[in-house]
Amino acid sequence: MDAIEHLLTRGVDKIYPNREALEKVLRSGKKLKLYQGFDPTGTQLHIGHAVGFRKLRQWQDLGHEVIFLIGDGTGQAGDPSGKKTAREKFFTREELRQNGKDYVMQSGKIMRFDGPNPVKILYNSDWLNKLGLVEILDIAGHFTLQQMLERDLYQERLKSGVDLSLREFMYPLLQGYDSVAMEVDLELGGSDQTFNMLAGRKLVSQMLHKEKFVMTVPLLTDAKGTKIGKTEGNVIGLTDEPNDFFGKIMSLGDDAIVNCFTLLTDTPIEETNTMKKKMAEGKNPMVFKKLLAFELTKQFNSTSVAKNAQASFEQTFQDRKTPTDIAEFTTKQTDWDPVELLVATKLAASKSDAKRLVEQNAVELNGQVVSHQLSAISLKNNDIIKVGKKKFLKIHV
Amino acid sequence: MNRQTERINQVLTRGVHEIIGKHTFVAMLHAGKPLRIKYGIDPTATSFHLGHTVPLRKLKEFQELGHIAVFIIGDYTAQIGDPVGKSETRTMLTLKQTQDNAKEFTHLAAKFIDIGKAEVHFQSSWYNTITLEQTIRLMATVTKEQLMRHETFRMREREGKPLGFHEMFYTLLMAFDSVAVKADIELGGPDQKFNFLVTRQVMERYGLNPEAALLLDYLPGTDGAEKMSKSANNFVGLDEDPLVQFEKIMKIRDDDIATFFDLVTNVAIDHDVHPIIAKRQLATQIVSDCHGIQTAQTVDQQFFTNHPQLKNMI
Repeated sequence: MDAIEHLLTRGVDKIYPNREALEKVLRSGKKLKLYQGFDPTGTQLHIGHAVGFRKLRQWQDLGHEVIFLIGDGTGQAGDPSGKKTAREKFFTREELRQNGKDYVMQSGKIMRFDGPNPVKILYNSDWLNKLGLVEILDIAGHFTLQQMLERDLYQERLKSGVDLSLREFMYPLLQGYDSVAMEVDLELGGSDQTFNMLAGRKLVSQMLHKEKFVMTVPLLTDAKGTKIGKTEGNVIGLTDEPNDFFGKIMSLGDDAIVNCFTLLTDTPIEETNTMKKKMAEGKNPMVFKKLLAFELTKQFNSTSVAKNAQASFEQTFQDRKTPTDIAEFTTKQTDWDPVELLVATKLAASKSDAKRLVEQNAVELNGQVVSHQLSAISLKNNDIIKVGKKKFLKIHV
Repeated sequence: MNRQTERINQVLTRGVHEIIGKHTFVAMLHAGKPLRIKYGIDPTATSFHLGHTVPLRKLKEFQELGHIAVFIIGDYTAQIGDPVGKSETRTMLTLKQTQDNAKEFTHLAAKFIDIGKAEVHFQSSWYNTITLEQTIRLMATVTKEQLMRHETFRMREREGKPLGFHEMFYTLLMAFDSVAVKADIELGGPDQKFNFLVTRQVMERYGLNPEAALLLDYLPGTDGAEKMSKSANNFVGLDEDPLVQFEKIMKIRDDDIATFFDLVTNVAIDHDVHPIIAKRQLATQIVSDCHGIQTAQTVDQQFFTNHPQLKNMI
């Protein structure tokens, strides 16, 4: 498999109009201008984002002009993709720009923003916020309501009877106009962005009379199709502390392993197929998951960091020993109601959560289960509190 | 009934099809405070026709009661074209085209309202500078479902005909005009009812009191159709040749004469005279409004010289 074939197949969902047309252009030696856009509405990038970043990096390495577009203009419309109720929270342009800068820092773990052929950073507010009403009407005039409603999301919302603010129809149009403003040859994005990206393809064709290719990358999911990396309250961030990151990968479901290898690493497909086969034959998935965790920690950090993270993980969770480097809780109070201690140390999210943990015998003090019959425990320096399998805390009095 | 009440009643009834927000409307009128009366017209062509003078005359009546006429030239909405009743999407006009079209509009309006006391606004005075953020905010005031209650949109949807996304902006821009000028009352034809209802909602979303609206009867076409319009080619243009105007009026259907008197003159029809005489009176009045009394008298003579048989009938 040569580099172009690799670019066009590995971790690629669809190519519009089709792969053959894009391959022909690439084989001719033409260098393309392409981009992916990001709505900086959150500050932490997660491994789901890495799928696109890795693809952008491949384009970059092949000498194409890659633009990292920060949607500080469109973000104001709020991308309704995947959202089933009308968005409520809106960000100021300043917040969006700041988030965008954080994005660049984080994605720098995968793409190069310096050296030869660096990825360019653009902000779409630079042209969107200059759009006058005449231009907006012109853009809107390229679409019919019927075309806008073809979007699955709108259909879902219509069926469920949730009202669609007219504002939400602006989003695909503005995203589409980005392609016109940058005069790009290709847009890359997650498969959930297909509608918006095709809106841009249409606008480029009608306003610039040229072809814009669209390449979609699959969403990072486990074998059941559940999104990985962004679960509520448990984001696997690109810049997570390495030990933490390693642990989070290890806590992914076994059916995420093969997809993660395919989309997030360069491990040859033959090898991932072998893994799949071995797991089906009963081999412990933990072995492969550890390989994955190592591979990803290395990719986003370095080999030595990954080695340390793995060692720490093995010591903590597999040897059932207390790790050497754990968080401390400093207090003057030595006698504690266990429930209150768990809340105060944030080992439990709430009082009821703490009670539940104690009742489940999930709390240990120096290796001894804290019984729910105990109304008070005494703490001394260097005591170790353990909650569940992974949370440790050293007491400092 | 004192004179003021009588005049208010006249404003509320003569040529009036329906009132939206009638209760507040009447209360506002009787409160005696000067109200802001909005009427907007789209410069889709270079001139306007007699049908447009119906709301202008109503505007004048309000001026005479001490209210403020707010005349809006829709150089943005005219780019889109009011989709109401249209089965096809119209090609958009450019801002330059609509502004070129509008050159004579103020001058023409001055023939019917006291232009010195009126406020004249081009929509471009707020839409040239509206930001994307403000536009998006405006779009957020309505839902797609609400706009799809528009009869024309439903018709297009039913018949599978394209509905340009930009056409959905028409109503919103009209509505924002009312926000921009803080209108108390708006004038328009019965086909504007949907737009006025949305406008009221949008104004409330911007923290304003919703305007009331006076839906005025349609002026019939010269061919007897329900509505005079450019597209049906059954209109009397205000800047048309006076003799042509005179001829067109003389050809209207007899049973439309009274409506014409109601809507485009200040006098009542004399039911006892021959229809030719009534039409002659009407035509003279209209030509006089557009071109002056002397021209009106000249074309009157010319017309009856050209049509001796008609002269013999009266």
